[in-house]
Amino acid sequence: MNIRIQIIVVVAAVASLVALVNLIRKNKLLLKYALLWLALGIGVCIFACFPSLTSYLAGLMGIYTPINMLFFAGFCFSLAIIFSLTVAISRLSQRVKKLSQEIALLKGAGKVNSIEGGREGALGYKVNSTEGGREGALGCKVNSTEDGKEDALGHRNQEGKTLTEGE
Amino acid sequence: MKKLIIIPAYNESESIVHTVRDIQEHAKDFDYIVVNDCSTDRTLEICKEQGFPVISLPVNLGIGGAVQTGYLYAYRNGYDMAVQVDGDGQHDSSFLNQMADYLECHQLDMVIGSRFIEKQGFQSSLFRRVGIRYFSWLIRMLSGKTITDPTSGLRLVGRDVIKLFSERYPNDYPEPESVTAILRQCKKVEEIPVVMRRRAGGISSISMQNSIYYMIKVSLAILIEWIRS
Repeated sequence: MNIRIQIIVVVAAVASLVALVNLIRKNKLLLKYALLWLALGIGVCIFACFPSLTSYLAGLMGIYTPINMLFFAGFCFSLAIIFSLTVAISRLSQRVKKLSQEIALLKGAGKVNSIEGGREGALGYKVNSTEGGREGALGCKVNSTEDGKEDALGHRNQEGKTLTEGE
Repeated sequence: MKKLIIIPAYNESESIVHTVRDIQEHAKDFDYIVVNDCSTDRTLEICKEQGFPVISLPVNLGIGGAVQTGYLYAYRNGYDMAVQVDGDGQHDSSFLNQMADYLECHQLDMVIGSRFIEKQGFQSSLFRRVGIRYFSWLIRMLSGKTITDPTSGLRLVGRDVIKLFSERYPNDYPEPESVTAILRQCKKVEEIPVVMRRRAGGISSISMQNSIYYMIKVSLAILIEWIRS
């Protein structure tokens, strides 16, 4: 590995690491997901600074030039990072789905094709019951005004005050 | 002074009733709220049966997210103080009044209940203690402040810190990082000695395998926290 490529790789890796840490510092990147990138940057630096180590590993793997080994290793590691992100995205999708469902259920069912403008919609569900605003269509107690002790989520506040969501 | 106890609970059906009864007995002028972190056991049902005020998260957020939910609740409902008491029964709520008085007397921003000042009660495993000593040292190197128990969950905070934590709070292993964050903002943090108990039931969230990851991640987080402007 000649000195020119070593310097280029180290400078590029260090610059990337600085940029990475800066993004984490500014809360634009979560440390948890950035850890692998940090490890990649540090690994590349180490291998570029110690060519003998790189040569040894290259020999082991049957790769002709050490720099090729460096790039190959970097590529494989990058694939691992991308895969871990795929796993993270899958998990996030599930959670977003769960959240969406919870919000929809909290909002309750809205008007359902009511022609009569009255109490039963076309599907026979009790919709927008006007009895006293106590039960939403799903039977959830919503905005109970009886004693101000339970809010929409059913939390009982010890002091008897109605809790308002989001102030 | 409106005071709130935040009780994060994930699968603590064995110990949650005992924890809350302990609070009801020893900390009568505190409000309390259980934050159920999407438990898969009967924690939520038990809380509802017993009539405990509970916030039930729709997805599991981990200790950081659950406690932050508590801080959000505290902020939006105008609490002056908030204290975290874990749902597993390790924290003794008879110290809460002492901590609240200490915060008020000395005009502090945070009071931490430390196991290691008088070294009484459950002292945790050797492995954990080494880790805790290390974080103590790291925080002292950066801020000059000696925190003997930076991983203690038993922390009481004032209104400023409630606001700070409700806006930003680490997701996992939050205690050392959050202490560093508020020290960085020149907040006043002091410790008082407390006695903690062995976990009453259930399993801890930090295992041996996670420990290395934990040490590296939290160290990096603390360092980056320190260079935040």
